[in-house]
Amino acid sequence: MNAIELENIRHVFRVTTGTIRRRSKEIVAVDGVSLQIEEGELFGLLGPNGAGKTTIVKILTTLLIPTAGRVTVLGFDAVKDAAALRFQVGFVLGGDRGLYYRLSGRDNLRYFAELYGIDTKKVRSRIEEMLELVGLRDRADERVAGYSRGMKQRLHIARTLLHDPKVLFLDEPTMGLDPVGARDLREIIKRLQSEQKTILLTTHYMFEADALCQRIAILNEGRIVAQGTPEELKELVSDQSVVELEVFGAETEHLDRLRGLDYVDSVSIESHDLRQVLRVQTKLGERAVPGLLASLENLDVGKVSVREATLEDAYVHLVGESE
Amino acid sequence: MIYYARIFILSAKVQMLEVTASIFMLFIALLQPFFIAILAIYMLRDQAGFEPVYVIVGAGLSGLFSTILFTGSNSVTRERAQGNLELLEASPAPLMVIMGGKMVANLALALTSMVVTYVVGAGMFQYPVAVEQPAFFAVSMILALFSLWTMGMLFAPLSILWQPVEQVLGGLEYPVFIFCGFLFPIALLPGWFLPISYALPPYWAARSLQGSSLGTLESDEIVLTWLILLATSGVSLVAAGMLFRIFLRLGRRKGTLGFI
Ligand SMILES: Nc1ncnc2c1ncn2[C@@H]1O[C@H](COP(=O)(O)OP(=O)(O)O)[C@@H](O)[C@H]1O
Ligand SMILES: [Mg+2]
Repeated sequence: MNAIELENIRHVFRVTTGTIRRRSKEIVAVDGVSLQIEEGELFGLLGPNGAGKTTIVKILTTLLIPTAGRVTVLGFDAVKDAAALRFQVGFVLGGDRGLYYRLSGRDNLRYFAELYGIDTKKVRSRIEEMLELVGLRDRADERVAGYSRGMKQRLHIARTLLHDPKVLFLDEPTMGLDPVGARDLREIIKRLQSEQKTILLTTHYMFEADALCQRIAILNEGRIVAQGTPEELKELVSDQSVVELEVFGAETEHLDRLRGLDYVDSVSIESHDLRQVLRVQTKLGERAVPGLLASLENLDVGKVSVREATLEDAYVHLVGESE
Repeated sequence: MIYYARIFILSAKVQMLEVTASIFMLFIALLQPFFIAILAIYMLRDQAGFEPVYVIVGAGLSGLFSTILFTGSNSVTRERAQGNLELLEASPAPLMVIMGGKMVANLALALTSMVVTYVVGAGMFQYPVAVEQPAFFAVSMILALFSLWTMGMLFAPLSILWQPVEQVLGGLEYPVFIFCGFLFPIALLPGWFLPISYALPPYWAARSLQGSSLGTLESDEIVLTWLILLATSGVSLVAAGMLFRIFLRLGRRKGTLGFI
């Protein structure tokens, strides 16, 4: 059975600017997204900043009413049955906001337990259990203001698990965490998945989606541009190789010249202090190198290497060529 | 029902912890009424017919009202700025019940300002502050607090729905002191002010508190005052409920529940 269904979801934000001469502008944040996520699945929604990930999560958690389309979670309509749905889902929005900073971690949990109507007799043990799960037991009586970003994020996870939701929405939960914090959080997510929870995880890190998710949808500018298991997505670039060229002083005209070659599928550029790395996706592999070098004639070229395309390259290929 | 009561009570507790940890809030609640009381006494004590207890009750009410105006009008805004509004709204608990509880904590804080002015009056100026009709005064006090609570509940959605309102409300402090007869009777005001005064719940709160302190009101008069207080407060509360609903509906359409 599907735990989550999105049918042709569209969301348009109207923003007005200026106080005297008011102009209003429409931002299409989600542009016709349809998705089905099965019960017990860990599904990744992957996309660059501004792709519409958070907007979709907010629609699913009843915080936004979509401009058009139908959303059901566990059979509840997220607009009409919002009240009933709220007992069933949990969510963490990325970043370190939310929570009452002047209260202790434990008091924060007590408050949210109350808001979800958890049985008074069970509250205490449930809170202990959650603190244990996220590894905050020793620090639970300190004020949240003194928590690190990773601790706040873990407290958010504990908060949203109190009422034992069947469906979880995790919006960029590892954003802004140091590598150790991010790894700890991924371990927690894996554990939740083993408890048969349906999880929608959003991220802009390909490797994170690859490591955790059973299926991935790639979102770009409000549309789903590819969808499948990590293996299926890798298939998309299986015949591609990537030529990496280290160059000095590349200009847009060089990139345009490369993009103009008929055997080049995409070009991305990564800038370091003085040098840049051009990544060229092509089906030709090494055989493309002479041609590429020829079209960069007047440019200083350093190291050149050829490798097989990875999922990361597939992602770059799908969401455009900017870094 | 029990669920709502528990949310209400714990929301009050959480707000209490939050507020007492905030120096600024404590300043609003304690220092401001102190200065209002002193200022009012110095301004009015040489006037004919100066009644210390009238001014002290009025100054206390002014402090109460300032605190409620301030805490009420920024209560939802503050939750949003902290990023908690979305967490609260996405929970099954109705936002108005949560805010109702928080407003009780604000009120408890505001009540300290009443105490401060009594201390100023009785302690610093040695005025007799004994209340003539203690039973009436006690009931009036409870109803006054209720009316101020409904005002807070009204300011909360109002100031988040229309950003400028929060600033305008800040400037409403002194007009309300005047319209509600906190510091001098509204009989001194031009006649066209009266309907405005009559529409404001705090006016009836001030009238019943000051009347029972001075012992100038007959019992049927004071009961009528209480009834009007309850009616005007009820209207505020219903309006507050409607504004909360509008705010949430708009917020869920425009995405303004999160920080913008
Ligand atoms: N409350 C809002 N009001 C106006 N525009 C918004 C709002 N929230 C998001 N947007 C816009 O919608 C687009 C998608 O945003 P978002 O869903 O936050 O993307 P993501 O989470 O993938 O980074 C962006 O262009 C963003 O600026
Ligand atoms: Mg986002």
